[in-house]
Amino acid sequence: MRVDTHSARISLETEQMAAATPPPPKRRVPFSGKAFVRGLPATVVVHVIGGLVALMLSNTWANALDAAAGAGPDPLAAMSTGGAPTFFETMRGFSETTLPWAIASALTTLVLWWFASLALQMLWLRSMRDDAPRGAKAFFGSVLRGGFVTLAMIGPLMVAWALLIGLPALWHLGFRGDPDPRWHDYGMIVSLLPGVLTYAGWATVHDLARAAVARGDGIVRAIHLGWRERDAMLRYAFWALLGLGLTAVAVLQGSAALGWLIAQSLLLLRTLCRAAWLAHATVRLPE
Amino acid sequence: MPHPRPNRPTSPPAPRERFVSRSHWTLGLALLLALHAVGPEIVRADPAHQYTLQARLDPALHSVEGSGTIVWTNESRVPQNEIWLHLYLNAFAHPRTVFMRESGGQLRGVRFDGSGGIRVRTLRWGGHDLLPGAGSPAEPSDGSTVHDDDAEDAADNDTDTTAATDTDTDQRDETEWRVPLPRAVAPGESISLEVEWTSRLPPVFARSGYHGDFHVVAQWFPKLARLEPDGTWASFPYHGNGEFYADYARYDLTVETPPGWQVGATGENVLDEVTGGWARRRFVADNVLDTVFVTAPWLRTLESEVQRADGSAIAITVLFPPGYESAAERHLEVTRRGLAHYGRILFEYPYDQLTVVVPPRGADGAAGMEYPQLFITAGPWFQMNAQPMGAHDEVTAHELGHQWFQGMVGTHEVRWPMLDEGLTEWITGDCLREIHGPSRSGASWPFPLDGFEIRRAVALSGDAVPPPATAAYGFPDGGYGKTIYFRTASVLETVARTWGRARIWRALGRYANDQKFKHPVPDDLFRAFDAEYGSWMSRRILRPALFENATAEHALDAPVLGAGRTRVTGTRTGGLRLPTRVRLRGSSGEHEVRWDGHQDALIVDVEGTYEIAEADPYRRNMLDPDRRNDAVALPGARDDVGVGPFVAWFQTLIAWLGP
Repeated sequence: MRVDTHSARISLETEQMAAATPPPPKRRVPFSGKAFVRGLPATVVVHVIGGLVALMLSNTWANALDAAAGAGPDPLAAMSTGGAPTFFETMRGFSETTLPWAIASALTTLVLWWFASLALQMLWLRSMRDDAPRGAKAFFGSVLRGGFVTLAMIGPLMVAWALLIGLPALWHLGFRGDPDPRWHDYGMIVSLLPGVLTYAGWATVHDLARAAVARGDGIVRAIHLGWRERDAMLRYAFWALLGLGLTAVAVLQGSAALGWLIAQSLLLLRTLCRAAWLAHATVRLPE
Repeated sequence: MPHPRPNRPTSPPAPRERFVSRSHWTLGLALLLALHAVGPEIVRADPAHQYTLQARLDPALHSVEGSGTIVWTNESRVPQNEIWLHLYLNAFAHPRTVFMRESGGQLRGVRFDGSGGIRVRTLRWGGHDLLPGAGSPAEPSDGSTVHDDDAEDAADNDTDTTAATDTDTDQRDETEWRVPLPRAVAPGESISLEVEWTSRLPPVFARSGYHGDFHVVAQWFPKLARLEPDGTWASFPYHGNGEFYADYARYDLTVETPPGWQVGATGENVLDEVTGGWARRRFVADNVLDTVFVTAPWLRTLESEVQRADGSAIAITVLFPPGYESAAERHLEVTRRGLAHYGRILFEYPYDQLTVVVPPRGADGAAGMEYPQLFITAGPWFQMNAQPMGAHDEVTAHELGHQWFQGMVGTHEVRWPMLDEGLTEWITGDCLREIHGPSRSGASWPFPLDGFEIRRAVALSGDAVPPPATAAYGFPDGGYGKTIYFRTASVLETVARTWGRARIWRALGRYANDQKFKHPVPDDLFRAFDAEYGSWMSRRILRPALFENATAEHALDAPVLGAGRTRVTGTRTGGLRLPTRVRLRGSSGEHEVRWDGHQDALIVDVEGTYEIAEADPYRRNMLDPDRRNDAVALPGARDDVGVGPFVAWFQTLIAWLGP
């Protein structure tokens, strides 16, 4: 019965699209708690895998710094008291150290992670639904479509970045004459808004589209649905800002044992924020 | 040496009239002024040199019509047939001036675009017009040679270079003038020159000029060069690095601006009125090297006072653009703390007023400059190009420090820039240690950093450059900043950390007090240090470090273990022998030995097992070009960096890149 209803709704929506009728009346925003709970195991998996990758990168860096610092004392410990005993010497002999290799390695890992994160996101989104098509074929199909969704939306992403960087830069470089810096500062804030809003809109539609392909929708329909549900941007912004705040506090916690524990807790909370948004994206899409 | 007694100015036709006794009212006025003077060191009566200047600013043309009298006394032992004048603003007259060629037309990232200059309309002594004989020399009078990339490029390309020669009068540097006199001025004789001129300000660059309504009227009037006691003129062109050297004088400046414009200037504001459609303000300063004024219609003021030990007060005025309130308060706080610190280690600021100017956005070319009783600091942080965090505090502390070096200890900035910028850089770092604490004197974020670590790194990095005891024009290939500022500061900080901060405060305080309102040279500095430490200080440390770029490099060999003992050897190179500590760490705990300042070789043989050896563990040596060989450890013995500090950062990156 449910399949029949689903087909009928799709058919109805297709007709509505073709007829270019006004947007459908606002629906009640569905509750995503069940999807969030359903996805918790995957959330933990994603968090742990991310942590392991971060640990690997950290190890590469620590080893490179150890090697670059020579036999001297721990440079980071000395820096905590304001000293930089070998930091500048190390930087002077940068090319002779293993640091360039560490940087290249880190960048490569991050690029690979970015590609791998597509599959992880599909895993995550699919785990939040109980009606996603099962099987390896369906999974890889969703990964492929998810990649194409990103490719299809690359243009708006570039626009968002161009606005985000370009407008403040233009304002900053072009600001002349007025001695009152408040106009400069207010202008900087205002000039950031178009880029931020465009990016937030893009990210909202992108995640919603990914959620659609995770349940088996095609690329075009997924993007269309994501665009139709763009009202979810406020919710995306809420969870994103909360996550941003958590990570900002986390990285300032330092490396002491308690600080490390707090940082890890905050980072886990950030992953849960992301999970909350993805759960909402999953249930937000119309059937 | 004592100065000859100055006298009332004379004119050429009547030399016998020059020794006229002073009238009683003059004496009374002088006494009144002396009583009024709170700072104990200010000499207000009977200055040998006096500038009485009137300046009217045309804000539309960005020019100043100036007139006045200059009283000059021949304080040398030799009669003088000529005088020398600085016409600093002509540095911006064309691209071939000494300043423009040495600086490459830019300063601290700000490129010059425009022109400026000074035209002397009248120069008279008595009835004699001195202008016809006056002129600039074909070559800089200080013997400096300008490294000229353009000319070399032209020569390399075998092109016509006649347009680029200094003998072409249109392209000549006219920042110094030789003015023949109709008769010799005897030692002790004073003359009075009448002068009228027009200063055309450039778009603000190298701390002079305008930006919109904001005018920094600096290096703007015909100013006498200093005559040395042996009768030679210490004249020089306006160089890319270094500009100050003059006699202490009384400056009586009257500034006319449109009504409603704020003015900050050198000296006490003794008159403030509006007449004839112009706002007139008169500023009088005694015993200063220069005068300057800054004006704009929208400048705000923040005022405060600092109490001296005797209960008298220094009035501080911060002039700032609207919207810079928080920056002004921060600059005021640093100024207050700086006055207290420098007053404690050197001598108390003796003048009654100090003006701090915060430049507006877009006037970066004005930022970071010192004048007597007035300095220009930096704006809020975003205005500082390529400066580390906290740089605004540093600029304020630094420019304030110049009130002492060379404001009141009047060294020759062009010949001995290390006594000016170098000493100021060290007291700046010392002041920031007081304000922020030693570990955060350079930066607080993203990690604490000792400011002297930054100076050490810059001073000892890159290619070899001339030593600090080099003239300002002796750095044709760059390196002025890292040598004059950072190397000099690193030398002094090494002395401070090795032999104690209180001792260097006493030594520098002795130098400053001995040379207050005088014109010292490096030997005077060395004498003050030798008096505190012993004669070895200048012979073994200061002179080699400042005149020969000597360093103090320590290198240890890996510990050799055997039979319950540890043997560590090391060598010292670079020319300086600094006493230091060597810390041994390992299975037997920790043990420290002293590596004294007499031996280049170190041999330590101690009981116990120590796998790690570290020279200078307290980071007192700021003159070691490579610290990587200061510490050695047997394999597996040293502390690892560990992954802890990086994990959260990478997790964050991963999270925002990831799903």
